Amino acid sequence: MILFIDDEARLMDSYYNYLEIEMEPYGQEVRFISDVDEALNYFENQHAEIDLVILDVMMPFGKSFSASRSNSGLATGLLFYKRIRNLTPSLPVLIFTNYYEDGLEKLFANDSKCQLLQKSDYLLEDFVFEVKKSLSLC
Amino acid sequence: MTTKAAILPVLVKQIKLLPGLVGETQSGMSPSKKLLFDTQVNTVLRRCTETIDRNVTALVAGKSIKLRRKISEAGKSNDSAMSAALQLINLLRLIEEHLGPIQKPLETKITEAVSESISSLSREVDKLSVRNESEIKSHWHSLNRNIEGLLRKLELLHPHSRQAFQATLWWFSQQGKSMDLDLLFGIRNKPPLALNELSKVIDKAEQGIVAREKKELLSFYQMTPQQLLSTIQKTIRNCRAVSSPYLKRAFKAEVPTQVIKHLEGIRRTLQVSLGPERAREWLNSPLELFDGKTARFALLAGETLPLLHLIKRFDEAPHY
Repeated sequence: MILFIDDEARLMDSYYNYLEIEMEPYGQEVRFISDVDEALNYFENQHAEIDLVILDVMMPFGKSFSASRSNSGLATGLLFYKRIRNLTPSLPVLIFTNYYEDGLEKLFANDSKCQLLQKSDYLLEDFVFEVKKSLSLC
Repeated sequence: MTTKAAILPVLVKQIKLLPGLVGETQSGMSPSKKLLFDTQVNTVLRRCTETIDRNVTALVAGKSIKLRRKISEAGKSNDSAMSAALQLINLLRLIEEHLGPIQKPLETKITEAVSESISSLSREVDKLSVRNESEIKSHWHSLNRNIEGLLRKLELLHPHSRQAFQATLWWFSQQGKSMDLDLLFGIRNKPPLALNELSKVIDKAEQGIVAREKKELLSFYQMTPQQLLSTIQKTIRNCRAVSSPYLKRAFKAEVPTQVIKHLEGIRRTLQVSLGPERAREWLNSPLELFDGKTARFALLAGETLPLLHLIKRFDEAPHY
């Protein structure tokens, strides 16, 4: 299963829909969750079933994260990523975001299972290609 | 049913026909590529529909005929996917034209800027004889960026929800351009919803833009993004109090980009006249005009226009 976490469901639905179509032949279900608290809860309970997490960075911090540590929500996804790594050190993660700060790549430099993708650089088919690559499907 | 409510479903229905018409022209594409193309067309169309939805007033004013004609032409166009993309670009340009007559200066300004970017893309595409996928992709890429920019701007003006408004501000902090500072300034002065804690997110959006787009200016004036933004806001406030019609005409400072233009003008003049090092020294030297305070201090107090006036005279004076 692919867990796709992004607070902007309205803008991401084409990515989600297309990914769902493309993953069907591989038997991969795509679960899209826009609420951070719900997503964290789902991940913590279901992580054994998850093959890949696609994660946005700029999201409301909800009840699970603090305003100050998430920089008022600007970096919520980075805190979420740390929770993922606490539970699943080698689960493939795609950080799919518009967020950028100097040195951001360095955060993931030692994590071969995590890749940082800037949303503006990826059209649907490029995005799906990266998902397939992360799951070793191509 | 009002006229406005009656015309919208007709337009939306016609726009929804477009993917089908475009789809018939893609005989050379593989099924998965066709699916991809259709999905992308649908994404753009959905965004167009939202744009129309927001601006139906302008469409009701008898300006929908051109749009309808363009949509019907899409079905008769040649058989390349690129032409379908071109039709969509044109369609968007037409929608932008419809936005023009709206009597909201800020919205009109945004519209003009986006319209220009879409037009330039369209002109670029017109020059090409494109038949291969990578080129189509690159144009889709530009189109997507343009549409996303437009959509984000509209979202700020007419937010779907508080959360969407906040997410859009985050987007501006990372992807916004310096011209977007005018929009954020307008939003702060006339918010579409109660700002409360969101005013801090507007601060972050503005700081993100300035830090990314105005590095040279920050370095020259030795200011942090917060200081530069404060200078801009104070300058606008001071300018409102200026009574001289001449000064008001000569040195407009009603929105952030106008102030930035003045600050860039001062920087250029000083650097050309004095050289980079002496320019920096001059900025930090006491000036009689400002009661012994430095030019940099004057800027931080929002005294950009008196300084600009001084620099202008300085620039016009004979150099020995």
